[in-house]
Amino acid sequence: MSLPLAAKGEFARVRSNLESALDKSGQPVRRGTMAHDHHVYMLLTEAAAAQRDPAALAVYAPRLASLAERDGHRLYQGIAARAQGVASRLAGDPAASAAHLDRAMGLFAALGTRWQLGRTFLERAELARMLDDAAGARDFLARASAAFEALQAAPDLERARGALAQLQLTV
Amino acid sequence: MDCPNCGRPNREQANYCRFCGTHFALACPRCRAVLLPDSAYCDNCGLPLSPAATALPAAHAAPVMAPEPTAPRPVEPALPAGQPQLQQYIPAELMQKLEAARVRGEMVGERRIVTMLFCDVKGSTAAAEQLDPEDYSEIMNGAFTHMIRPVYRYEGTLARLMGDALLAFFGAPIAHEDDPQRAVLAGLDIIAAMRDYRDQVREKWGLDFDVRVGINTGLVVVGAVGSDLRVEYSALGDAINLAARMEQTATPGSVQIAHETYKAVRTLFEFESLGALEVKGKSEPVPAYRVLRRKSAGGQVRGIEGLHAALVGRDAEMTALRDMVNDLQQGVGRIVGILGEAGLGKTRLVAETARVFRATCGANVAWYEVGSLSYETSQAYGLFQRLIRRVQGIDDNDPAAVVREKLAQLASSLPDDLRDRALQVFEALFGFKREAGAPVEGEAFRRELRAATQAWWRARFASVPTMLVFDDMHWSDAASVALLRELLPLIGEMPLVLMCVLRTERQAPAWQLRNTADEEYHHRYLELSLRPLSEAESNELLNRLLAVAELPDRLRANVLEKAGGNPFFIEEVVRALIDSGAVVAEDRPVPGGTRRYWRATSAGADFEIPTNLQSLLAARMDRLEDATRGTLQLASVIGRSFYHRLLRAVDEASPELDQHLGALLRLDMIREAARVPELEYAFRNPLTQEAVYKTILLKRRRTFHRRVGEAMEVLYAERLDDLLGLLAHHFRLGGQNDKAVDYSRRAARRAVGLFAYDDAVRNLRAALELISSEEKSDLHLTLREELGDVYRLLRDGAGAMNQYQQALELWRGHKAADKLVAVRLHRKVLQVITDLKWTVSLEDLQQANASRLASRAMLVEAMPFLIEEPPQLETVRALVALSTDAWRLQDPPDWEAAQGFAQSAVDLAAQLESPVDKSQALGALATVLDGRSLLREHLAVTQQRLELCRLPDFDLHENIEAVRSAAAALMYVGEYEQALPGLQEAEQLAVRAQVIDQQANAIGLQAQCYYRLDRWDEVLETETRWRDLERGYPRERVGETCFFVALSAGVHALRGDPQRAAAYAQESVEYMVTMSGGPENWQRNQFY
Repeated sequence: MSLPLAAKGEFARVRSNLESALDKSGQPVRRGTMAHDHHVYMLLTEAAAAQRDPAALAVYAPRLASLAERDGHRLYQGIAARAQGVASRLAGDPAASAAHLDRAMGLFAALGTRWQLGRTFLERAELARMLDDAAGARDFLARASAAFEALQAAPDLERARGALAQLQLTV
Repeated sequence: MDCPNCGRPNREQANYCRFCGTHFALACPRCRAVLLPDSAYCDNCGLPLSPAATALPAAHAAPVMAPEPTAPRPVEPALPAGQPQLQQYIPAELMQKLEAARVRGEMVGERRIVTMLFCDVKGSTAAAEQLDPEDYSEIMNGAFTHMIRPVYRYEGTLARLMGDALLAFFGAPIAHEDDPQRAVLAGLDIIAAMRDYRDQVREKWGLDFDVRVGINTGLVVVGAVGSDLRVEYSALGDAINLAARMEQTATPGSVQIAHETYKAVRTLFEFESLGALEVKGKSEPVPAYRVLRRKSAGGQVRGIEGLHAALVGRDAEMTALRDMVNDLQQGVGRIVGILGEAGLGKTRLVAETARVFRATCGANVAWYEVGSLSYETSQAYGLFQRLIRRVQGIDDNDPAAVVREKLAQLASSLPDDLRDRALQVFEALFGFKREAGAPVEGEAFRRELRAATQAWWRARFASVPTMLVFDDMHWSDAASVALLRELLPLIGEMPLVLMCVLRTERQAPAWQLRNTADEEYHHRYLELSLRPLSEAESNELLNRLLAVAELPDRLRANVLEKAGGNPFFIEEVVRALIDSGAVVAEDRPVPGGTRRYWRATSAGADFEIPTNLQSLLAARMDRLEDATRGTLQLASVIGRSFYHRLLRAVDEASPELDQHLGALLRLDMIREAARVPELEYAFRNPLTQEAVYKTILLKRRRTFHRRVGEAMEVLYAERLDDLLGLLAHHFRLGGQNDKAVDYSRRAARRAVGLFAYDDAVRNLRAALELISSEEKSDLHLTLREELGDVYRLLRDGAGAMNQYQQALELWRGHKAADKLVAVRLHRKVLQVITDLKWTVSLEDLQQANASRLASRAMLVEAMPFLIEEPPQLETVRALVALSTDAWRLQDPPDWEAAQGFAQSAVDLAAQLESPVDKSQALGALATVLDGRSLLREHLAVTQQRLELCRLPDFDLHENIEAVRSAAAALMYVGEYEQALPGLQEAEQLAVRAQVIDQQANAIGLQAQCYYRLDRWDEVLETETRWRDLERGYPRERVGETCFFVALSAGVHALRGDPQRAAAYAQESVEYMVTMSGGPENWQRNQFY
């Protein structure tokens, strides 16, 4: 039951659930609730990114990217790109990270998925902070806050505003 | 004749009693209205009068009587002297009917709810032994006089005299809406009257005896029974036996009633419960009650104990009444007429006005409410006497001296010059006679009473805002109404409101008061005519009565439809549903306490009309002439609406048909429903039609139904297809089974074509009821299979399985059985079980597994032979079923086999001309590709299928599936915006076809798209739609919604509401546990 867990930020439980379910038969439910490989790897990738787990990211993000590319699934392409951006940042490759994150932002903007976009802004701000680009970080955090506010995504909004406040204190 | 007051003999032509001066007037034997001397018909109820029929005297004008020890009673009919003969007591028109029945040799009768009263004299056998027959006869005649009078007083019918006992009916041949109450009052009066008589007999003959009374209410067949030598009016049925048993087990000197009567009168009397009595002929003990006394303040007859609903649909009326109250506070008097049919909420409106009145005007005001009684319509000044009692605080049980004292107090408030004369007329009104002075009589009495009352009102009401409420004025006596009319001018000079509450009965004396108010006091007259509630208001009332009602849609619709917007009917039906256990209360925990839910205990939509409602409706019907009533009964057989042409064809009394219909229209019992394409009428209230129908004897119903069916076949030969269900209905109830089965099947097929599956089920079930369950015929097998198919369309897997298995059983018992029939039935069994997965509990699915394995084995075994045969559709269908089984029910899924079966089905279907089967084969293949995560391939096949379904007149079900699955395929590859229109289209198509699970699924998939597009508000909006479906239908029909719950949980979590999110997530998990067991049994998608 991973979807609501992911929404609540309980990523360890998401991983535990889905990793144990990977070897379960992919029994389709007749109408639209099929857990395709895409969906499962999407959630595992998201969880790994949230946990900042490079090893897991190295396994799941490419698989998701590959499936999403094969089927032209733009949302999952974006999620995979964001996860790869996180992985690159953790690996100390800011250029690759920026490229992945910018691609993700483009895909999400085209789809109009504001929450995904807001979360990508957060990652982009994290990268900017790593690069000591306070202005850039502030800009991305402000854009993330706006996206979350519009959606009434309270926990993410709090997170973005907290990061923004901390950034201003630091500066 | 004997004087009704003193009982002494007078000439038949006498106008006044020569001993006590009581004025005799002729009274209608049916309605008891006072008649003019030369009346050929009663001008109140229309009864034709014979000289004998008008022999019953009624009270009229001022009764100048000797003082009675207690309050005056309604005037009694004269009882013939000598040995009692039943004929002497039976109303003349009933005697005429009985005589006609005897001459014709016909049994005429009706099914009716009747309250039956048995009364016998205990100790009469001993008296007969001890006394000379002449003395005995004298004693018994006296006893019968006291036993019979109360029966007449409350307008019962004496049905039989049996030695020392009698049987009386309340509710036949003329019904009153309060027959149980009347019967109990009559019983109490009998007991009271016999107390004095016992003393007299004991004193004179030294004998002791007593009477006992037993009463029950219930359905009986009443009518003329007997032979050509003797016919009597009687009742047959279990209810009458129970009434007799109540009497036989009653303690002497008491009234004992059974539970059905008790239910109707429990708020009006005080009782002692006697527990459950063993009664001969009854397998279970029956509850019995001893009636102790009438309650001094009668309880609420209407409404449901423990339930209360705020006033619904009367906003405009309440606004007008508030304005009226405000005006009254300013000293402005008015006349208010509240008009409406029984049950429309007149009394409730009065209660709300009282609340507003007290809240607005404070303490220094007066509100007096008096009602008229249905059995006292001919008691002159009865209403006025009750008004005086109410205002002056005179209790029914006050001794005569106290009553006189209180009347004297009243008079003392009047001007000196009026005081004495006023007291005299008020005392006369209460039956007191002065020792000295000449009595006031005739016109002088009326004049004096008017003057006295005017003075009394001025003294009493001129200084304080006062409301005088006269409830149930349609029953008010003519004398009181005439007096009130004369008092209307007082409204202009004091802060007084007369609120007159009455039904729209134009023949009632009170209607004249209404006319006078409207014509002569228009500037002070406010009339509120209550209309039936709209459907939305009725629904609101139902919801308010049952705060959280979980009723099947069909039951709710049926209640609302039958009640016809009448709040009382709605309440009574709800009460009956609760009483019968069809609806039960459940207190369920909610945050901060518990909440009461009302849940239906079955999915059924039918209910019996409550007894009291039947009585109310029957009372209206009984005012009709026999021939008009016959027409109404025949119309009720046709249905709630009926074509004039059809009624004319079946009504043997058709020469006068239009006259009868005119009468029914005038009485508002029917209405004109349409003139185009032909004249059609409808019952004003659907419950009336049912109540009328229920009065017809079963044998006559059969004849009528057959006649209606045959007439329809002739009259509507060119459009029988529109009338198949009706024809089946009439021939079934007319006993023409072959025709009924044929029409039922045709009706079911047509219903399926119109997606009215519930109707189809009803028709097929009705057809099956006409076939013996043992019959091993092709027709029986076909009906079972057809019913199974409809259940499958309704997603009722268990129902479908049951029918297919029964069909297979019949096939096995068939000597020359066609093997292809067995293949088809096994294929359907397999399909049903694959349908069941995810929508029923794991346990149920496991129970069905044995059938599934047997059917699958049969199909696998037959497949090589089928493939060798020329291509045929059944082979394609069997392959599709095997493909679905391979992935859906085999664990782990056999994807290779599933794809193989599906591909073979596609290939074979391509050789056949059946687009639907081609589509289904493509659907099977698409699902396999979906299951294998080959999303683009899946999308391609669904698009191919969608093109096929765009052909004109394509099967709607297949179309829904194709549209939905193509949209889902787009969603899988992330094309959410493109998927949404398809899902919306699928939802609309599913609504049209009543395919609830497709509808729910299309909604859920939209939610999924919105979730992925981060459109969270829309996710939550869709929840309302699928929740509505969950509330309205069983899970089998709605399908899996656990995933939709999870989506809402996600939105609440993302919005920072962890408690709600957790509750939703828990709901989703619990759902999955019920359908699959614990996580150890879950498939991958359930973890997702």
